Amino acid sequence: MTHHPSANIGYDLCGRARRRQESPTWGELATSVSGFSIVACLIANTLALSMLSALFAASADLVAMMHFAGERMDQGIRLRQVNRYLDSVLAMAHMPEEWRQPKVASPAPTQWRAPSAPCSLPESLGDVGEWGGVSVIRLDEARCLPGRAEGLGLYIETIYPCPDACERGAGYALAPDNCTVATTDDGAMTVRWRAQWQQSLTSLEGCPPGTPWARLERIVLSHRSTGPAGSSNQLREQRLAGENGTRWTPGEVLVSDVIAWRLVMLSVYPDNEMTVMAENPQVDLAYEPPSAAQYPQLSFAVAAAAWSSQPEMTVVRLLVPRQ
Amino acid sequence: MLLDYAMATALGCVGMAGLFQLAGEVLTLQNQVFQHGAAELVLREVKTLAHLTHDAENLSGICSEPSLKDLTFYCEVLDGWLMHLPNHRFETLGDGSIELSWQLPDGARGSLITGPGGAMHYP
Repeated sequence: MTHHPSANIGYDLCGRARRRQESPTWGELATSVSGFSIVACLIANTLALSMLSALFAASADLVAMMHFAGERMDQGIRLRQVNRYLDSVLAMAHMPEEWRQPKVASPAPTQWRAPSAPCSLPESLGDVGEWGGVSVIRLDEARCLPGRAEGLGLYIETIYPCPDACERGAGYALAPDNCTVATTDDGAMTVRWRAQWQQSLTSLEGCPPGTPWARLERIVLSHRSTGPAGSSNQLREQRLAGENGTRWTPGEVLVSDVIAWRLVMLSVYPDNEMTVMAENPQVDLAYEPPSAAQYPQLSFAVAAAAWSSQPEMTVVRLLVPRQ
Repeated sequence: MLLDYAMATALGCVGMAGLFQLAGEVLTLQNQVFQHGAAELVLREVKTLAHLTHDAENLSGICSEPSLKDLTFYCEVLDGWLMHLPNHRFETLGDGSIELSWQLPDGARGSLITGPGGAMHYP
């Protein structure tokens, strides 16, 4: 098919001339091209701006509430993290029920057993009838702990039955003395347990298979506030990690922005006549009459982020063995 | 054309209203989760106190038990948490477990029951 450019040019010129003759006024042109008049455009813009400002006004409150709720949720999560951690370690702070000595054979101890000193060598303690326990210690008196921590710390000695709770890796194993286990008529074990360091906790060394054994751990929970105006408040965990029994791990941050850490001992008298909370933290249990049971009471607060105006979230826990 | 614009605006408004409703539901859900956390915390301590006071009958007034002294701070903190649980009520069930119920943001009642050890469950 042949193309004729000259003919097309002539047609275009004629068309433009015709359209120029039929061209409307400027106002009509504006209306026909854009679809609505300038007045309608102004009304539409006003409506749009009004709607946007109404949306912003309504969403500002919502955004503020979302920020508030988000921050509170974050605090709640950190709080729950501490509580769950405490629950998990405190649940293992005594010998398993089936391993308890006959004289204390009960579903759970009525009060925490005092654990061995944190700086003592587990293997040097010899054969012990019961391991585990919870106590409040003065950190500056525990020289084996790295760092210059001060104040009070929560010291927990935990027992994890093996092989279920044991993995490859070095640690202290609790084994029956002479690998022998004797039981009474009512099924209670009359065993004395000794601690030994093992390079691997996949199996118990020196005893035949089937011998009950466990992993021994020592944990110290402490609070550290560094920097100006408490800019760095941390709840820290330290664990016994060394073969010689005196090497502890550096403080590992469990939860940050923890403030107002406070540990006191609550004395409960079994005759139910009075329950008294010691005014000052008492680490030495000898102050109390023998009839009183003592329980650590821990309180702390979780602060919000620095930019937030959310108040801190305070929690208090009475650390009593679970019944 | 103005009609088209009005339709688009209406659609936008409906969309924003849906977004607001979604945000409101997220807020309600967050509030419920927070309330359950608060209830868990309070119930754990009330159970402990009940154990120490030999299963006190009046759990709501356990902090005023004559056998408990100098627990002001402890009880203040618990009261602070209970403020997040409107119309809360403690109840001792037949098996000895304790139930804490409260009014949820949507008007229904939520509750939490203590179980063996430190466990808690919903009815």
